[in-house]
Amino acid sequence: MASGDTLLTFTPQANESPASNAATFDTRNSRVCLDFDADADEEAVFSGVMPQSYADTTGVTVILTMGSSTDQTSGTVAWELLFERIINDSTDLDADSFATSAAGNRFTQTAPGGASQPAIDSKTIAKGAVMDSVVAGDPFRLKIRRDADGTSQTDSMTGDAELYSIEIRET
Amino acid sequence: MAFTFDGADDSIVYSTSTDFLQVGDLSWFWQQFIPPSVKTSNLIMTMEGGTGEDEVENSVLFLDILGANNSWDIRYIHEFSTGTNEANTFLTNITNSTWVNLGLTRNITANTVKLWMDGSLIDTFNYTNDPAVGATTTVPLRIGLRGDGTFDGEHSIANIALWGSAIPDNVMLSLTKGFSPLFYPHGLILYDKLIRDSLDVIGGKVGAITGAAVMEQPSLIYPALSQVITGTAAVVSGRIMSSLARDGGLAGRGGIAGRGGGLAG
Repeated sequence: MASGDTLLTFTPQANESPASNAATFDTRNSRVCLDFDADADEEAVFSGVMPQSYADTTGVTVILTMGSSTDQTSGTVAWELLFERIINDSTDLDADSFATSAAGNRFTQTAPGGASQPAIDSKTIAKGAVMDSVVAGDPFRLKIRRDADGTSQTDSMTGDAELYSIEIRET
Repeated sequence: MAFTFDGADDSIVYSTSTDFLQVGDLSWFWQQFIPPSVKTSNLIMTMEGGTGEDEVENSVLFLDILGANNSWDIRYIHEFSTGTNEANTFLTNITNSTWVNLGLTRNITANTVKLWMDGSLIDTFNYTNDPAVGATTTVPLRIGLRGDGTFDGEHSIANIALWGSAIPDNVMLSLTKGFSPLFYPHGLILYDKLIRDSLDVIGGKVGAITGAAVMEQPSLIYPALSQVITGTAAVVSGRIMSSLARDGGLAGRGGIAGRGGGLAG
């Protein structure tokens, strides 16, 4: 893929809810979204296979479409975008092995500019360790976690963050 | 098409199984419709060894409809010892002829039973004694009618699901807003849409149906796959366009704008 081309998209219905601390399915004007709490860290997990067209030149760019359940227009949401590569004859399927949260896979998304509006923002994730070395053809999971208690970044938007879509592009 | 129970002898019965002997944590989801003519004390569902008061006949979960016309409530029961009830009536105030999404969780560590309806927690029942069923190892799951032919259900039901765990509050809140139980597969024992037939898509159980009246039920939101944008499609598309442009296509020698007789050739 050329830089900027779309590799995969996920909608909320593709979320494989973790057994605990799961983001909550919700709807807004019949649009399906995932609500991430403002106080407790919550997660959503998406499975995919990295397309063979992924060039793995510099990595990927993840674009999130986010809303605010209470129409906040200030503050930030702290996200962690954690890849987990599934390796043949190696990965323990009974355990999680997501990439460690680090500056390279964290980002803060600013609240939408106006009430009832979405914020669409991107995070570049470099190839290699911060995306768990996922390459073309690898099955993988992507965990999206709101660091609501601000352990590693500033999370200051009150109310739920609504996640509407995820796009993964070739950087 | 949901199943409608006629208040006489209609029922759906899943054969005895260890899966239905849930004396610990559990969760139950269902869509419910109650007509104006409903009788009191009519069964939604039960998992029980029998209908007597011996310990081996205890109900590990029993739900029925109480209340008054246009303000129907849901009663929860489980039994312990020799048929002693832990019971609570959840004041759902369900109006006539209206579909609702309901969910129940039982946590035997916290000794609580919670009931949600359409995205809201109705109430929490704090009980004292956990369910117990003596030596029984398997029980059936019955919908609409007890094993002895009493508690004739007169209502409609669809999309039933049973988990062997107390699923998290926010998850049940989501489900009762209209999301499929398939969004929370952890500990999911049975999920039967009850759309014209009875087939559990999780454990392969098949309910034996008595009575066949059906009616439409509200839709749920189901899981979806990710969308892959393949490079192949783009390449093929590019080759086709290139070919068209070169050999007689859109702008080629014989195409729309080509040299050989196309529309603009």
